[in-house]
Amino acid sequence: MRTFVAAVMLITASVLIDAQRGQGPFDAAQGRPPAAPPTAKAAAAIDLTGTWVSVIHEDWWLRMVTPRKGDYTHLLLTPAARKLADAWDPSKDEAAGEQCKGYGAAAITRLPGRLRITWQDENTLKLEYEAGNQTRLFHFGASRPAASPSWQGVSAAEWKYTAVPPRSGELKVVTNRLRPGYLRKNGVPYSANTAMTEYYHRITAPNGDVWLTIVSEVIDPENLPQPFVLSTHFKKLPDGAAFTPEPCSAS
Amino acid sequence: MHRGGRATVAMLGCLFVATAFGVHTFAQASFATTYQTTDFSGEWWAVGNDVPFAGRMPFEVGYTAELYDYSGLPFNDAGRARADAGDISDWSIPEFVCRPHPGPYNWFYGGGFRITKDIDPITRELVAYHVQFLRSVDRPIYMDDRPHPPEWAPHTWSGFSTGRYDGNTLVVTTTHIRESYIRANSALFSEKSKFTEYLMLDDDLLTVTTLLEDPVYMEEPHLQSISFRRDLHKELPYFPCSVNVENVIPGFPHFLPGKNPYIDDTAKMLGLPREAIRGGAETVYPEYRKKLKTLPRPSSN
Repeated sequence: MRTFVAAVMLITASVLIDAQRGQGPFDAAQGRPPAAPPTAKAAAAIDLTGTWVSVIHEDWWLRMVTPRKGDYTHLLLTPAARKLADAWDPSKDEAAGEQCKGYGAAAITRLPGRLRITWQDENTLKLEYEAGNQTRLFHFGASRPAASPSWQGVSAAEWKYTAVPPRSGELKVVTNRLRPGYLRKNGVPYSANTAMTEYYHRITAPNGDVWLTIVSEVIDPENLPQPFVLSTHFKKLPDGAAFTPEPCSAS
Repeated sequence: MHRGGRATVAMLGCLFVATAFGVHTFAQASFATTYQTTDFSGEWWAVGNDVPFAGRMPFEVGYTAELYDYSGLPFNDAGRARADAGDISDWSIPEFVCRPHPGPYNWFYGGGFRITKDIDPITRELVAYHVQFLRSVDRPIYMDDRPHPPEWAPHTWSGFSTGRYDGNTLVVTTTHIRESYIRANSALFSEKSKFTEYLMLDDDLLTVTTLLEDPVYMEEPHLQSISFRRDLHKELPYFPCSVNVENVIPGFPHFLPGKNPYIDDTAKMLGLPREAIRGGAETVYPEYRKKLKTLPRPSSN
């Protein structure tokens, strides 16, 4: 009996040893979550802080100028959305104090200008845009501020890590509670039911330049029959780069 | 210790050694790796391309470009001159009718592609990814750390590509690519170009960012991106391109310097200043909007 008990203990011990080697049923890489990080800032997968400038290599004629009324290039719109966009009148927006409709979260990344990213606190990332002098806040963790719909909405953020060290990864952000705005400045609408998911990637070019690629997916069944996916590029600027906010403009 | 006790201890010792270092041999092996890897294989379909497209005309969805539109390209004078000399009807000569799209441009053509993994059957190591588009030759991306060939080695439509993982991103370096187009017009990159491509997976989205460094035609690097979704219900079709002689003009279609009559057509169509459509590094930064307001607009046709 004692021999049997000893054998069972030895087998148990060996399995534990095996697990510690990362080869067994208790494989840390497969099932055991890493220890909870103290704050989002401390646990950042990548460093996004600094000042970045949008580089308009894509859709230049849609971004460097306000697209002409009726230009819906790259967009699939519902009939209702097209009707609204066809009725776009920037002077009415200006008169109504709605000149920031084209600067909401679903559109602002695509506008020319600089982007300044800082940590507002240990669990809130702040993004300031020259375009329209707008600010977005990315909230990590469970707490979300109770807020009425706004141009920038409410954004929940989480780090997406690599499976193995060294720690790296991306930032995923989900934004909703948006005030209805324009997906493009020429009146293409998005509704209050819009949800946007973004992924922030930091990449390094062979010449040492650091780039931010932001992939965004906008879902708005009222106006878009299918998700609208875009990716936009910003280049990192040296510390102390100028940052000059511009007011919203409807045209 | 009596003989039976020693035998028991010896047996237990052997059992410990066998179980401690041998049980995993018989257990389900883990697929976890000690190095970063992400699987990019599969059939992928361009997001937003489930509708017909007929060029970058207003009201259409697509990724092609107007003729002689260099907006957003950091072209230098040589790049502009080379592109101005181009005539899109060069597609009609027998040598170009079945010309494959150049590797790093092919992502932007629209539609989908297939990525397969080339696995060493013995070591089970990833030797290469293979990318196949509708109108392309097979494009291997070597993952086995092999070096790029010397500069004098032949240049091809796909170029020579090697890949490595940087975190979750697959970073592909391509050299030895023939001079070809960066847009679906006559805007070209030179054979001295180097492409760095970044493949990034976000949930079910694959985004490809291409960074072009061209010391001959560009003032600074050029970036562009496009996204795809994995499609479990599509297959890359066979594309039997046949060479038909469609060219009705003798010689190679081109325009001599200063003789291209179509240079300003896009500027007129879009109502934008000619200078802006001609590209250049200055034009791709936000500050250029101030200058843009001072430039004369062309009169439309």
